Amino acid sequence: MSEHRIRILYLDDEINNLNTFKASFRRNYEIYTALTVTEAKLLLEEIPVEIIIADQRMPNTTGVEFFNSIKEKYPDPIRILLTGYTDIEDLIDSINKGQIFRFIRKPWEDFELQNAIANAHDLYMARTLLKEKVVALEKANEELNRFIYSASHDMRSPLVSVLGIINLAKTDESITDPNGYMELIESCILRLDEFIKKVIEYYRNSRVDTETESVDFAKIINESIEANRHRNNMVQFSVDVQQDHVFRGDAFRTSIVLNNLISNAIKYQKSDEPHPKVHLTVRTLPRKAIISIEDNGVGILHTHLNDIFRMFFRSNRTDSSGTGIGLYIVKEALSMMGGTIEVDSTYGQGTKFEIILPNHVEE
Amino acid sequence: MSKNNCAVVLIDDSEVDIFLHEQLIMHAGGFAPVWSFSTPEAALDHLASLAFSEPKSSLPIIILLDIKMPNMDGFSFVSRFESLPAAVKDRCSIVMLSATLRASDTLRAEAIPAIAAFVNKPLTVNLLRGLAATIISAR
Repeated sequence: MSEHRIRILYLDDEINNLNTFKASFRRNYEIYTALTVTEAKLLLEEIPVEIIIADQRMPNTTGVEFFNSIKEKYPDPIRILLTGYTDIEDLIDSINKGQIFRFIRKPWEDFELQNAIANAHDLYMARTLLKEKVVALEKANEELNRFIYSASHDMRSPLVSVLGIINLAKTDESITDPNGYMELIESCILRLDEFIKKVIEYYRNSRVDTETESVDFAKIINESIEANRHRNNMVQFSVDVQQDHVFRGDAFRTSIVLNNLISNAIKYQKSDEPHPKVHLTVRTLPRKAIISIEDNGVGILHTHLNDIFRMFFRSNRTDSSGTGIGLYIVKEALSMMGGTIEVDSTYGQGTKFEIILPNHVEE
Repeated sequence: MSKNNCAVVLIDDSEVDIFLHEQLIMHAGGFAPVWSFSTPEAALDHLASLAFSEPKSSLPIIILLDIKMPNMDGFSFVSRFESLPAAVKDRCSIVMLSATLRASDTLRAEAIPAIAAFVNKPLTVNLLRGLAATIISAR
């Protein structure tokens, strides 16, 4: 795997041990030896070794102390401790602190030491590889982030220019348009813009960390209604929130879910319904919240009920303006929160969604 | 709305948006003169020259500033704007305009005191009138 031979630093106050080690292993490894801690540290400054072997008993210090003194500056090399004595307290301590990969009793058996070195090197390589992967992944993530926002901006820019021009044409009445072509153009552009926004919402839902905070359902619902009311001013809302227990959860994703469902409840109203209605209820309990949203809109074909949460699914008979992504986002957001959703609908009469969210209030 | 109570500096790299915003400004009424620039650099040069060409003027200026532009973006413009002479700077209110969906752009704009407002495109005649009213009454 590696181009070069494994680099090992061996620290021992007995020159005979250093020489024996060299004699046994010089063919296989690139070996650096040191008689004192000072020498060892000088070598570490110059040479990026992968494995450090140290004797435990030395005149002024111990191997464990030496490892302790270099762990901040050189965290990567894998450490092996040689000991002729069983200084059990020291050993337990240093192993527990995770500083030592193996300890080997002196005098060592060559095969045992060789095995330890091979394993230590494998660990070193695995850690290095993991670090490289993490760096590469972070870079890829950051690039994706930049790409998503840059692409969405560059797609939206011309769209909003077109919307601006349509608004301008309406204001100065400079276009005679008896067949309503401008309205058609506008509705297509709005749909595409909606789609881009949904894609970004989906992306954000998959990326943003889940945060537990206190959730104010009445506020979220009112904001969603205000943001969507313009789609159909006829719709009458009735909101019944009874937040008897404090509810803690992910406010960001809760608002994604409610916003999509409220927007759908408004969008999928019957054009000939004289009293379009949307009814919302929220009940909080110690362990969960139960939310229902019911409309008297177009409803969903029974055969489509299983498919509505699929990505890009559009119930074709009823859905002319949808993007096919809203309910998918709802389901994704709920699964990230550990919530569930049930749907009950009668085609031509209305739809009711019921959501259950877990309450993360501290016990 | 009374005549000519506010000047406008338009900064946008899109020709179409410059045209569109000029038309909207015309329809909204009450804005003159209107200076349009396709680069932030040119706008900064013009603003700096106002200190000499009209040193006594106190006519408020609304700067409609796009965010994403090549070479220098809206945020870099704002930091360069800070070093303009106070006589010019004090006349200006910056309104950021963008098609961005990046939450951090909005948060960043809110955190910068020199930016008076953030508007998601498309700009409309009503939005423009509302902005002007708020900015002028805040002076």
